[in-house]
Amino acid sequence: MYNLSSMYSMGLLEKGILSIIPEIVIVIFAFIVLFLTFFEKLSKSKNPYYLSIIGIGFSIVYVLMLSGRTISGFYGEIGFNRFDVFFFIVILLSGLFTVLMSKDVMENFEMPLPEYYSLILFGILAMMILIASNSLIMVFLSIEFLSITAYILTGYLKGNRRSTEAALKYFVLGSFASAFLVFGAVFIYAATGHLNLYNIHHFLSLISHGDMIRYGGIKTYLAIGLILFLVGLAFKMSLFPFHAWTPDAYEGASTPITSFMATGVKVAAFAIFLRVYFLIYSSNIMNFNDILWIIAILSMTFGNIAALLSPNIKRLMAYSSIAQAGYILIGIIGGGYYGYSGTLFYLLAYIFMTAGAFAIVIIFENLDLISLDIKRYSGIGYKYPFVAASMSIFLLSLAGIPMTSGFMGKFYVLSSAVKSGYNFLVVIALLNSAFAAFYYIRIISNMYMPSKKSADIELSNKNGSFGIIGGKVSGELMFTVIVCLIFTILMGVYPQVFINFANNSVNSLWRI
Amino acid sequence: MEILFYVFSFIAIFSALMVVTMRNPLTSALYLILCFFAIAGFYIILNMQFLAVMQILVYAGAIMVLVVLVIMLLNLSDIKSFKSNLHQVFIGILISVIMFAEIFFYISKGIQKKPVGIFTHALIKKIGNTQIIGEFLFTKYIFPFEIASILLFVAIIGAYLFAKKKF
Repeated sequence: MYNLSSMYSMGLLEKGILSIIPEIVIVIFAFIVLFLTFFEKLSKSKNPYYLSIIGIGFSIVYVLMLSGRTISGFYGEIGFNRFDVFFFIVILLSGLFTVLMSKDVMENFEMPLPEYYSLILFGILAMMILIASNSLIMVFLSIEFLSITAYILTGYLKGNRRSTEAALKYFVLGSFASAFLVFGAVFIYAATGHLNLYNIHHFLSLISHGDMIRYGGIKTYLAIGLILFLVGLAFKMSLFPFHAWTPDAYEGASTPITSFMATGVKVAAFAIFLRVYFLIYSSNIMNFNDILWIIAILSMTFGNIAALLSPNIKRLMAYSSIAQAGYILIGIIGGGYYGYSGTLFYLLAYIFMTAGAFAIVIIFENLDLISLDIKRYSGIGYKYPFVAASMSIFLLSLAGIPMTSGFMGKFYVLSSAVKSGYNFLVVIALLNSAFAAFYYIRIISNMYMPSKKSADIELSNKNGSFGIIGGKVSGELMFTVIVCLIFTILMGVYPQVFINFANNSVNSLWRI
Repeated sequence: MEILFYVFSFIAIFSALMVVTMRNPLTSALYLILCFFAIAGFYIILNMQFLAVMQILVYAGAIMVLVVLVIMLLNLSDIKSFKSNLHQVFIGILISVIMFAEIFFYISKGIQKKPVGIFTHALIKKIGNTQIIGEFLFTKYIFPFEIASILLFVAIIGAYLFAKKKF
C-alpha cells in the first residue's frame, strides 16, 4: 500500500549526504563569500579571494579522502565513484586556476568583488553535480545551473559592449540548446520509462536480449531522444554545428572566465557525455558513431581553418578549442576501455595547457599591451624570456609536438581509434593537427623572430622592471603558469602515473 | 476525447503563431495567454489537474502580468492608439470558453486511463495528485529540488548584477 515515507527513509539520506560532501563544501564557501557583500570593508578586501581558494582546497581534500568508495546517494539521483573523483579533481583544478588568475584582472579592471568569486564557486558546484548526476532530471538541472552561471560570468564586464553582447548571444543560443536537451530527455523517458541512467541501461540490455517484437516502437523514440540529447550536450562541448556561440562568448568574457569556460565547462560536458554515451548510446539502438564521426571531422577542420584566419588571440584560442573538442571526441568514438581512458587523459592534459596559455594571455593583457592582437606579440620573446618560453611550450603542446602532454593525449586517443578500425578518421585528424601546428607555431615565430615592420611597435611599459615578469603581474599568475608548465611537461615525459589514474577511474564505469 | 486533443493543439499552435505575427504587442500578449490556456487543456486531458492549475496560475497569471507590465513601460503612447480592438475581445471570449471547458472536463473526470506503477487510478483519486507530487518532491526528488532552489538563487544574483547601475 501507499506509504512514501517508509519507502524513502531517513537512513538513506545520511548515505546520500556522504556522497555529496565535496559539493557541500563548495556550496558553503560560495554562500560565505556571497555574504561578505553585506560588509563593505570585508568585501573590498582580499578575503573573498582567499576564502574561495580555501574552499576549493577543502573540497579537493574531501574528494581525496572519499576516493575509492562507490556511493550512490539520494535514491540514485547522484553518485560518487572513481570516475567522478577524476573529473572532480580536473574541475576543481580548473576552478582553482580561474580564481588564481582572476585576482589581477579584478584589480586592473575594477570589477565588483565578492559576487564574482561566489559565482565561480557556484559554477564549480554546478559542474561537479553535472559530473556526478545519475538521472536525466539531474543532468538537465545541473546543465541549466552551469549555463546560468556561465551567462552571468560572461556578461560580468559591465559597460563593456562586447561582454554584454556575448552574454546575450550565449544566453539566447544556450536556451535553445537546453530546450533540445530537455526535449530529448522527454523522448528517452517516454521510450524507456526510467529517469535513472543506470535503470535505462539495464532496461536496454534487458530488451536487447529479450523479445524485441514487444518493444518494437521503442527504438525509434529512443533514437530521436538521443539525437536531441546529443544536440544539447554538443552545444556545451562546442562541437561543430553547435559552436556558433564559442568565439563571441570567449572573446567577450574577461580572460579568466574564458579560461573557465574553455576548461571547466567543456570538461564537465565531456564527462557527462562520456557517461551517457557509455550507458545509453552504446547499446545497439542505432550507430551513433556514424554521427559522431562526421561531427568530429567537421569540428577539427572548421576549428583549424577559422583559427588560422583570426588575428585575435582569444578568438584563436576559441577556434582551437573547437578543434580540440573534435580530437577529444575521437577517443569516445574509438571507444572501449582504451578509448575512454585516452579521453580522460586528454581532458586532463587539455586543462593544463589551455589554462596556462590563458594565464599568459592575461599577463600580456595586464602589461598595458592590450595585446589581444597577435601581431603585437612580436619580439616579446626577448623581453620576457620565461613567459614567452612557457607560452611556446603550451602552444606546442596544443599543436601536439612530442615531449608535451598534448602529444601523449593525441597519441592515446588516435591509437584507440586505430584499434577500433577508424583509419580514415585518424588520417584526417593527423592532417588536421599538422595543419593546426602552422598557426600555433606562427605565434611562436612571431614572438621570437619579429618582422622588421612590426618591430616598430614598442612596448608602452618600457620603464617597468623587466625580469621574468613586469608591471602589475602578481605571483599568483606566475604560480598558475609554473604549475601548468610542470604538468604539461610531466604528462608528456612521464605519463604513466596519469594514465594509471585515468585507467582506474574508467574501471569504475564498467563496475555498475 | 481524441478530438479534444486536436482542438487544443490547433488552438495552441494557432495562438503561438499569432503571438509572433501580431503587430500590436498587447494583442500578442493576449494570444500568449490563450496559448497557455490551451496547453493547460492538455494537462486536463492527461488527468493532471495540479499541473493544469499551476500552468494557469504561474504562466497565465504571474508571468503574463510581468509581460504586460513590460509592454506598458516600453511604449505607453503606442498602446493608446489601438486600445479597443475586436481581436482582443475575441481572444478574451475564447480564453473564458476554454477555461470553462477545462473546468467542465475536470469535474466530469476526464478520460479513464490507467496509470502504470504503484499509483493506481483509484489511489490517485483518493489522495489527489497534489499530495503525491508534494511527497515525491520531498522524498525521492529531494536533491533535484534543493539544487533547483540554489539555481534560482544564482539566477536572482545574476538579474541583480545586470540590473545594478554601478558597482
